[in-house]
Amino acid sequence: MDLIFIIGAGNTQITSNPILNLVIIYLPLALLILYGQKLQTWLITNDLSKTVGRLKEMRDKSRDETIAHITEGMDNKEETIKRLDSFLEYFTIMPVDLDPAGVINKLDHIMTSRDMRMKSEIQQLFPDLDELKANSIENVIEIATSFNFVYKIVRHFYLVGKKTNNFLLLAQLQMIIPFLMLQADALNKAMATFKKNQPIGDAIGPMIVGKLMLEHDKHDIAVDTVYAESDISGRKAILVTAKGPAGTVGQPGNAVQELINKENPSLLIMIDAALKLEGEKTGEVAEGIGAAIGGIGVDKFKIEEAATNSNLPVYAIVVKQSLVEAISLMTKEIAESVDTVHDIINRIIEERTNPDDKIIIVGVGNTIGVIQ
Amino acid sequence: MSLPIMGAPDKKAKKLTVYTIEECVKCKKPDKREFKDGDLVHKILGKCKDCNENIMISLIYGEEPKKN
Repeated sequence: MDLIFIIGAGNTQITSNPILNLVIIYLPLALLILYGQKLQTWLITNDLSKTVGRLKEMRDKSRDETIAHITEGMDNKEETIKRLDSFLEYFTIMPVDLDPAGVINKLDHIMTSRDMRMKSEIQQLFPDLDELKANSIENVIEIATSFNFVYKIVRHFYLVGKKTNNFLLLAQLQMIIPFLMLQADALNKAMATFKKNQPIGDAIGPMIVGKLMLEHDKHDIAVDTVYAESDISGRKAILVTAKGPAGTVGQPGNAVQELINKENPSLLIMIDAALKLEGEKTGEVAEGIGAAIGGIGVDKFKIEEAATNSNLPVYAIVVKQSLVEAISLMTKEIAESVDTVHDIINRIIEERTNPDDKIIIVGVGNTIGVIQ
Repeated sequence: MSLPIMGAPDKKAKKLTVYTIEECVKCKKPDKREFKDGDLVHKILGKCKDCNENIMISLIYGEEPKKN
């Protein structure tokens, strides 16, 4: 058969046979116009179902790994597994913010109560555990809980979209899934690291300040938070970080607030890990102004308020890394930024303060695997 | 039709080997070895053979194993 392409104004033909033209061109065109969205919905649903399945696999694996970690060498595992499953369903109700005045104190109270309850329940379940292992269990349970939460949210929107045949809902879920999968991947990698008490990318702040604290007396100042006094270039340096080597971020907000009121320092330097933008190099060090601290905002609020009331300049030094790197095993590029940051601290102190001044230096982050 | 799973983690991502760097606090001589359970950053391990000062774990990090 001779195929003749005749493309004219409003007259597209592939063959000279009009019926064949109808089947090849006009019928698929009509079908796509009428059922295009249904086809797209089917494709997205099919793809999302695979992703939800993969998330379920990851969630189940994290639960199994958590069980294996916490019941290691235990005889009566059944009761512990039951308790673990109830931990996975734990939720936190955020305070009402219709009247935002005082919401930070409410948030602080709720988050502190949540942490305390988790700690006391783990202590009740495993009374003979040392602090390091108990903290490792707490962190691993938190990872498994996060996994469970991500999976349940994705499954919810997938099922609602499928049930109502809502193309727009499914398309939105499809757009956000790559970011959620990145988070799931990060949690997956974090599990192995937390089980072995290895430092994570976020531990760079405590590692930098922890090195300056070595051979100095450490004092408790807030929950899971310590400080030490040192001399840097003739200035009194007050070093603050979470108490390692257990995996905790401590309460730097309370600690800094108390130290600012007590010591009246002339400079506050904060060191933290910061999320890099795509294209930026891991381990790159950057300087700036402001409270370098993440989280839900309670500690940041306290530090900003105390610094503002005392007219205290706040300098920030950050080590850049991705979300995955921040919660999984510390990479060489991040670890090797310690000396660079120490040089910057020394330069800032010499340039911005006078001898005999007082300076507070805070290492922000999770101090897992790092001793001070 | 088989489409790739959206946002699936990169399967080509290389597995990192965990290394521990030991260093004498005085002569700063570094020694790199594979991570062992119980290793912690800034943990004192013993005395340096050369100067009798403390040997400390200075870094623990993940790195792609070098090809031989």
